[in-house]
Amino acid sequence: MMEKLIEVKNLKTSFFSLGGEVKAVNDVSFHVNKGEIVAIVGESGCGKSVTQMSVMRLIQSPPGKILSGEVLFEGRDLLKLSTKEMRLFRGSQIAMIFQEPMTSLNPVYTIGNQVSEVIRTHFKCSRKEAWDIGVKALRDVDIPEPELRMRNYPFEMSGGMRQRVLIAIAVACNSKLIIADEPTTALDVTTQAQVMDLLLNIVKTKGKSMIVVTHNLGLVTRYAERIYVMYAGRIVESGTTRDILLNAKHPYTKGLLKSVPDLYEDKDVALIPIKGSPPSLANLPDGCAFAPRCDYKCEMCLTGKAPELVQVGDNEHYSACLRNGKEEF
Amino acid sequence: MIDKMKLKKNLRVLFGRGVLSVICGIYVVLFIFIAIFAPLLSRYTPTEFCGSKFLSPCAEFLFGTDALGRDVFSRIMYGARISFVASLLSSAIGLVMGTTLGLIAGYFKGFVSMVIMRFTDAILSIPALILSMVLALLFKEGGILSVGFVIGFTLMSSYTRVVYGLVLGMKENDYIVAAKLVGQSKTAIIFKHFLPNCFPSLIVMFTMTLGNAISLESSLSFLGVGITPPTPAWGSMVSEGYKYLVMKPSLAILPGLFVLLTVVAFNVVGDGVRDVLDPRLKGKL
Amino acid sequence: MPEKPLLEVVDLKKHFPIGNKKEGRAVKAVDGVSFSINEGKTFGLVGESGCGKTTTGKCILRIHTPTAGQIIYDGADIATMDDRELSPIRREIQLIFQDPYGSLDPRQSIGSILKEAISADHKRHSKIEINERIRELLEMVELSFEMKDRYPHELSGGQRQRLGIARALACKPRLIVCDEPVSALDVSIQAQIINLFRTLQQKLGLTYLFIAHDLAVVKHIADDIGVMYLGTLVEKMNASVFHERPLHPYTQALLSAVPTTNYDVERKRTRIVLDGEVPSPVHAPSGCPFHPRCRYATAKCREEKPQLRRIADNHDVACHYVFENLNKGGC
Repeated sequence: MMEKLIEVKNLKTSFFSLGGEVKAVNDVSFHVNKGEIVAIVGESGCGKSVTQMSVMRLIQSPPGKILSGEVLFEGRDLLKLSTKEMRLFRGSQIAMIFQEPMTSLNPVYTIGNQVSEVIRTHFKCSRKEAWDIGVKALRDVDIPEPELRMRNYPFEMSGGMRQRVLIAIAVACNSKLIIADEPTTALDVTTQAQVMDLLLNIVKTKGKSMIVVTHNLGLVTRYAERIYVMYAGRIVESGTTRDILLNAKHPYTKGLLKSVPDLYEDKDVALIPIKGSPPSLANLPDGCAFAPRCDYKCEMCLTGKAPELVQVGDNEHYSACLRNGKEEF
Repeated sequence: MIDKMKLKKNLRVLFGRGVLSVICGIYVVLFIFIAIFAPLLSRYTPTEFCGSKFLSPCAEFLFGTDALGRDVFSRIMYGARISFVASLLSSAIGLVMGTTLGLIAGYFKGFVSMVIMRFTDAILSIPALILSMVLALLFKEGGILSVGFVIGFTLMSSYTRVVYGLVLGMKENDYIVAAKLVGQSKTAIIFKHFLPNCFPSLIVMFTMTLGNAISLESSLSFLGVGITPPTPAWGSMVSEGYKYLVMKPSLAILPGLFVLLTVVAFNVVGDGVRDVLDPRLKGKL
Repeated sequence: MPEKPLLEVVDLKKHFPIGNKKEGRAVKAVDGVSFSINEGKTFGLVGESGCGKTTTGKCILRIHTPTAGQIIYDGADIATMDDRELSPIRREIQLIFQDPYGSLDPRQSIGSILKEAISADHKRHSKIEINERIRELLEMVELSFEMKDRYPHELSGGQRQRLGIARALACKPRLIVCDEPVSALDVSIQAQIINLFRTLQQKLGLTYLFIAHDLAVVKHIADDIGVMYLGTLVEKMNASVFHERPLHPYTQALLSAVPTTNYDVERKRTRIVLDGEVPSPVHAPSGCPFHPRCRYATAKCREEKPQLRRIADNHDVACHYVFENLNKGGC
């Protein structure tokens, strides 16, 4: 039996504005086992990033609020920690890597300053020691000439290099879990491959776990063991990468797979787009949120509560669709 | 339904600064009302000798009378009118001239742009009061038109600066490229794209320069180079009253106080207008 | 040559001078690019950021004036034309932008955006004509006529891009340069727009220059593909063989780095991970621009810049050792 590193149960986060309640995360549960890479996939505005921000307790309040749920990290509920405990927890246990590395690094300090600063908040050590740990961490993430690079400012580095610096901070602090939120979206294809390979390498060699949040299903095909697909604030399907890609059950996942052009597909295979556009989280339809765009909807889909996740296969394959199993799509 | 909500939200933003902004809003409305209807509201004309000199406030003369026996209350109401007209006129002159120059300088690169912007920089480097004093001395007329022009010229350069900056920023926008690609002419691009997109900033600046213009006009009148007595400008009232500062301080203090209140009120309202029209401009104008 | 190409780009160069003029330093954004597109076809230009693909597009649109080279559009060289000579051709070449929002004036309604594009041809149009044309254009991009009074901020990303396409179509173009037209859109919307491009091409016989960094998208829509690296075309080939027979080492690496949802392929294939990063075009390397990162590079690559050579039917590669690579096989 795999040991769970982090387990999120029934998390609900909403934002309150003049327009009403925006249900960004709506009853989301997921877990990550030790040593596992899990992907959370969804389009922009589906709540995937807010979910991770809630786990880190980085939701701005107001307007945001974590309404209910549990975030169990090695059995401790992070939502019950004091603000100070949580601050120490971030970075040391969970590290987060963002899409735009420029904004997560302070432009007026050198890389070395920032890296050793983080190290010193989590370990009791001298400036010199922290600096050395930093140099070693930069070397670990394959940054050439780490001693020189420590004296650079963020703007003197390329996007790929900055992303490596953030990964280096995670490595130096010995975080058990890395949450990578669209880690390569701002990067070029070949740099993207470098950074993803580096992340994979670090997770595997140092026994860490990772959550990759992305809109690009293809990106995680290679790396993730399991995938959660999110739509309109909910998880609509989850399962092993193989099950999701080859045996998707939820109409949204299926639609997503058919609508993305693939290099290894024949040109004449027409793309089948998903109709319409994603609903606004402030104004969700009754019933299944995907129903208005779904080709397989029935009347039951349009009323009542959103469908629950039900098991549709072995290996923890779940899908939240009323017609799961009742009729082949 | 949506419009109602939007209106509510805008009002909330407009008066978002609390009591102060509400008071200033009411004050500005009142000021404009008095400026327009001064002849109907006041009992006497501003130049009429209607009572004994230096009367204290009473039911007939709310603010008393001045050294020549004129009703101070009526004079202040007419003064509001002068201030309002002068500031409106000068801000409008500044707006039109400044925007034109800014659009030209922003759109056409090279020599023309350089000349306009250097000229603007030169004007901006001279303190507004000194510049308008010099200009006013050149004009010598002391009518509301010439004062309006003098102040308008002084205000012009700040409009030029802002419009120039806006146009430079907009030039990089894809929609300008798109307009060129569909074959739109230069003038059409200026009037259809650049100008309308400058409007929010211009409206905000206009409200704010109204206040500035009032203080400039009052300063000029106080120094005796603005609107010439006996026309009841607040500035000249202060300068007349100030001779009797010990004997009857209200003669100088009252018009001075109104200048202060009006300038502050216009600035606060301007801030509110800015937040409604373009929240991104916060702290920039 | 069975057909005459609508657009032929010959040895196009665009250098942006930097520093003071005496030094004569320049960023060689585009440095000798040649390709041609036949009427009704799509040419895909791919490459990573800074490779010069967008600059190439802007030269063809004559937003930039090229430093050297020819751009032969419909038989005439437009590279050196001045504004007056260009004006009759202007409307025939249109651009679809990456950021659909930035390309729409926020203060114009949809109707007036289209009206502007329709009436900018300096001909007389009656009100009814314009309205009819707006209706026709909106229908073409699958938007409803009722939307004409709305403003861009009220539209979704996909609808904005459709509007951008409608504006381009308003000029009755023959060639459309699409600069990353779907990369700013949501995944589920991208397919809608790609399909729209294909339908419009069939209906109106449009010619596309499709610029994108997403190889899968380009492969899906293009007939021929050119791969750019540091301002030069390193490989040019038919889209159908794109993923099967990449011959330039850079194309191979690029392809192997593209993520795919094809589970079996992805788990089996080996990935070529390149060292280092794309050098800045200010300090472009001598010889072959790719040699510092190339695993096959030799002394010859450092000194001599390889030219595009035809090595098979409709397949050009700029590599000294292309035949050796051929034997080693692709990825």
